[in-house]
Amino acid sequence: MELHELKSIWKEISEEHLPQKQVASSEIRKMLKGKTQNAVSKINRSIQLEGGLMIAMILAFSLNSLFGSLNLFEKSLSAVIMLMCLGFSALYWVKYRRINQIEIHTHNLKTSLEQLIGILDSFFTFYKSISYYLIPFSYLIGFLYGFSLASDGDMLETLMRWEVLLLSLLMSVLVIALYWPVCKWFSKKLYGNYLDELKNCLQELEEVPV
Amino acid sequence: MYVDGEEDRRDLFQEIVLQLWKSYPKFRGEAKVSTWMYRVALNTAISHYRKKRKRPQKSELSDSVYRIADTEYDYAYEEKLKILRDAIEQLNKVEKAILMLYLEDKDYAEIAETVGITQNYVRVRMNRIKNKLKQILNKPQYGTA
Repeated sequence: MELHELKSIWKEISEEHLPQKQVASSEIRKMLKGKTQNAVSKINRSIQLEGGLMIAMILAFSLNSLFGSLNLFEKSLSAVIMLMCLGFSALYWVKYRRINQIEIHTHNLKTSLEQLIGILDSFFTFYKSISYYLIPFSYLIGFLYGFSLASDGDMLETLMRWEVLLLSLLMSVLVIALYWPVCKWFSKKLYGNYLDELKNCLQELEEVPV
Repeated sequence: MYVDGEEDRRDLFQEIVLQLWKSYPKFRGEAKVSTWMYRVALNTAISHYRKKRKRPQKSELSDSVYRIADTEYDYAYEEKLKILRDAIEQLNKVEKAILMLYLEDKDYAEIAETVGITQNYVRVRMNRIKNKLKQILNKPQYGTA
């Protein structure tokens, strides 16, 4: 079978199936009300969700710092957490703006793939930076904050008891040691394979003809 | 070409319709409407993000299945359809894109514009696709060996 025969089969199929594939305007209207499922929209939705959570946390910790019945140490930690959330929110906002300035679907295939890979790569780098460096820091602050709230007397004295210190260290090591591989596995599972697929596709396009 | 199963096909079709709708305000008329539409559809199909289904899809019976009872079964046509599907299945995503545009009667200039490569490259890729398809279609199971 030659290529022109393939073309005639394609035409035959297209002509025969075209009337059946016609969609009523009501159905199109229904489709337009649906959510887009592409990768950029999914990233946008997760940024919106995490941004929303950040704002809720900023509010909660601001109120806690201002009006909570806390000692100075706890108020300071609460303010640090609030400031961290504020910083994250600003970063999320910048990311969100950048992603939405790019229109990936109207370019040619090569440009579209380059842009999509760029968006996903930068989002991953952003996410990894947050996870790798800031999550352990957040854990430490959260731990100290919780410890301070739970301890009745002198916090430093309690913390310096060898069994408490050992348990705290073990827990910290365990959480951080578990968090990184889980985070890596999750991001790979979520978008890693998809990104590899896109990169392969771009590589195919960039092959120099011989 | 890019998805299997009725449900995935419906999802992709909806995604393409949505992207066309969203992109239309930015269409500045620099290319032909058909080129622009193919571009959006192709970009959407190739970058379509979907979760791998763990279980085989349970899809509703399509209209074509119901029609089997009413119409005379065309074995030759079904055979051709199977050959076409099998052949396309073995191509990679870029080759599928180029072949689809070729089958839709687009010239090399329009294919080059849609895909973002040079016409010379389209020509080279078309030759490769032709050879690849020849190898696939000349296998004994297609009865042409």
